[in-house]
Amino acid sequence: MKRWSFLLIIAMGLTVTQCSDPGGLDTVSGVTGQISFDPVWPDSLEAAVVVVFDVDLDLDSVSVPGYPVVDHFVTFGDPIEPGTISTEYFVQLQPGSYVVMAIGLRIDPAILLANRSLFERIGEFIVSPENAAPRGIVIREKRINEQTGWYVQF
Amino acid sequence: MKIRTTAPQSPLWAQIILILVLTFASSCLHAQEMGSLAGRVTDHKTGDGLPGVNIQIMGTSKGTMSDMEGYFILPDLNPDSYQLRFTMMGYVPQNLKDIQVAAGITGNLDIGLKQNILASPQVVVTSSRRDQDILESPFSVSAIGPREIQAKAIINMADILGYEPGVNLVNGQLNIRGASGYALGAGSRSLLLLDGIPMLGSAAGNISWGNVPTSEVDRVEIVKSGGSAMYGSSAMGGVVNIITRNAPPEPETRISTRLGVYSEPRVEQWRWRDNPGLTSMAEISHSRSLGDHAVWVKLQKHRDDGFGELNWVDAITFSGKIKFNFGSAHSASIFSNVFSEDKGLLSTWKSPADPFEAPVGSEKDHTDGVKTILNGQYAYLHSPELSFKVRAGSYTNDWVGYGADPDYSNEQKYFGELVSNWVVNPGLSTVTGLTIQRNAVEAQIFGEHDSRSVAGYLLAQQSLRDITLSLGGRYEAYAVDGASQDQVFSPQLAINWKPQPWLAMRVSTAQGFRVPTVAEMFTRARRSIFYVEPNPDLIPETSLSQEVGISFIAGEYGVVDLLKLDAALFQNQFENLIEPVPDSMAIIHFQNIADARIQGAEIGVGVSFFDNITDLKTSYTWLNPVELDGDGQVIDTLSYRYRHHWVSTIGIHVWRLDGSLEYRYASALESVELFPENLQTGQDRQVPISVWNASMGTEWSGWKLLFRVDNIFQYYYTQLERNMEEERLVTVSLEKRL
Repeated sequence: MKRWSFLLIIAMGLTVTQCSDPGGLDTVSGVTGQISFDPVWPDSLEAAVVVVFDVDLDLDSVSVPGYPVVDHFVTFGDPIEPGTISTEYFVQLQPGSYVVMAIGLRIDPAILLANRSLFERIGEFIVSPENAAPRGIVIREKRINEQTGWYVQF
Repeated sequence: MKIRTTAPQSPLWAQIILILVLTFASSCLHAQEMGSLAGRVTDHKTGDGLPGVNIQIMGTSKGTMSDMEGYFILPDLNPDSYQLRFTMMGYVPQNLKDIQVAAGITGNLDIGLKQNILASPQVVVTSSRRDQDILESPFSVSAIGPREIQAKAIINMADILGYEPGVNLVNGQLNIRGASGYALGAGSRSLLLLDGIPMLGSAAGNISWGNVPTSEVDRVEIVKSGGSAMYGSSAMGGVVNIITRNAPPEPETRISTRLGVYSEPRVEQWRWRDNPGLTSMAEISHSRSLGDHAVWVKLQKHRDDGFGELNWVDAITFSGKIKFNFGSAHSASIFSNVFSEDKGLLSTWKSPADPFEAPVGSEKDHTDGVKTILNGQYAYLHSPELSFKVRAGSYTNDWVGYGADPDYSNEQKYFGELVSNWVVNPGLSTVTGLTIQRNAVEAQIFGEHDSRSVAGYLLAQQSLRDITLSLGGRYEAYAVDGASQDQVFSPQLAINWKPQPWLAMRVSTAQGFRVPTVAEMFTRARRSIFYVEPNPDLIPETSLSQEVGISFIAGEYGVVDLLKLDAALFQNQFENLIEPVPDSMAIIHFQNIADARIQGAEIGVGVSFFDNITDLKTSYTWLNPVELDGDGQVIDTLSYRYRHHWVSTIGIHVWRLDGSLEYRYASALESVELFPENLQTGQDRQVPISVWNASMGTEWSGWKLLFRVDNIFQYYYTQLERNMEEERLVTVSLEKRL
């Protein structure tokens, strides 16, 4: 009977080895860095965010009423509270080419997140910084693209 | 097994007196001369007498228990042929057929029972509030015995429950067959009892697993069918009753220690500390009898660096239990547990690129608090047919939160209950009870509130041949802050058919309810980027559950030593389900959402082979949890419920080694509340749970050594969004019994 048990143990061992393909969470790709702000934030801003667009975005038209910003929107990072002087950011992205920029929001980002329909009008809520130019980035598989030296003044 | 038939030996004069007495008695009473059975139950392997073995004469209400040396006697039996059933926790149940009893003769019956880790308790107390054969339970029940608990050498009881059929935990929140989901830790729909006394927090109605003295647990019973008739609010999804052990008659001192090390994250990108995290536990306990009474005390120190930056814990626990025996009719017990814990407070990870680190600014977030339990119980056996129990308990929880959002809370819970068990006749038994409960809380995020409830319940069970019919109901009224809030009546009806000693079928329907907790009604706090605001207008949620099931327990057959099977189909229909719902202003209110329904199927099998060298325990649960609109149409999947859940444990017992391999699988969550998966970026990805654990242990001359590896393959997943779950942990436990 012990022989049967040993065979069972071996079968179990083989099964475990074969079934142990780790399909869980793994290394992610994205963009990260440190971002600094001018200490004086306009009162109209509810938050700032690092936002990511596709490379077809017309940067000159972002604040032009009627321009379909949402068509080029990919995602944004965690909200940065008004008054913040410096903070880390991270935005997870699939491999590809993107445009990254820091923007001010005239709407509470939580409300924006809770109302997907407001995304259609996101251009109305965006304040572009005076000094920080958008950056083009390339994200590679399981790599983090570091973008440092950002100083933003709204 | 040996069966001998011998006449009792006694002096001549005694025999003459006995004959005269019996002659007189028989002429007066015209009674039939009786016979009896006596013998000893021993451990098949060691030959030691087994105390407390339940010996039941099948088809009758007669039975007995073996004494401290394993001896038993069944007197006053009509001459006939009987079938006997011997059951004891941790041993394979054994049935003996065609045991002949002759008039005036004491038949001698010696029997050896075989140990088996799968042989969980056969007598349960939770489903019908009285001692009952698990196969005669009207509801789905599973039970975990002490050998199974000790074999894992775990500190947190939740680590065992997650491997039971249909049970999983989302961030510590207990889920039985998907009833609870995850509601920010508030409002459990599964009730936790400690020795029959409710242990949910008075403010959030949540479970604190640190209150459970895991190493002192005798057994755990899990009632999985819904309904509140017996246990009231929060039992609508099921009940977990943790029963602490009584001290053994022989003095015993136990010293144990557990050391462990967390692996570095498998992913290079996620590594965050220079030295691996450690976990340690040291415990000393002593138990002894004091005359007719018995006592145990335990002191435990636990320190854990955690697998993540804010998963650390530093805790110390003192617990003890005194069991008083005042003759055969009166007994009482007092249990106390003082649990002091300082622990990190994690809300979300820093980022998916740093999932084991805390967000910037929250690195110092922690809570420091003390939870104190004082429970007492008094039992009075008025006659073999009528008994009473009085239970009383208090649970206080005081803590202070430090860090980015300082907080505090002082909570008290008081509970009292009077229960009577009355066997009206051999076929009819009743359980009647009256409970009162008071919760009081003063906290920064809840304010100062007070809730009280009073309830009465009745359960009657009538046996008709192989069928047991259960009918019961509970009436409960409760008030919040002095104002009457609601009154609820919850009936239940169940039928159990046990055509064979090894086979039973059951069908049940029951109503359940849960009153909203103080946390759901009055919380004002921030959760991630969302705010939670009060909703004092919440009304109780109610449920209607149905279940059909079949259970099968068989002893030796060929190479199979024990085979257990339980299968069930179930449905739970909820009305006014309370869930946290973010509104368009990103403010979360706990709301009575329309309706919901959870349908499912579950099958669990336990089997041991080859003279108990190998055993397998496996179960699969399928759920279909949906939210319904007013017309009963499906509008969404309920959040934080797993559609498929599979757990398996394989054990090997050769020479003096006990090895086990565990596997837990749950399909990916299909719906969450705060951060749904972003398919475009891959952010907040939900993956299935697929975790392997293994252990190898041995016992020798009072020493016990156990190696254990949790999450062998370092599988990474989240349950609550942006909260990474367990890292691989390697532990060594050493215990010495003196």
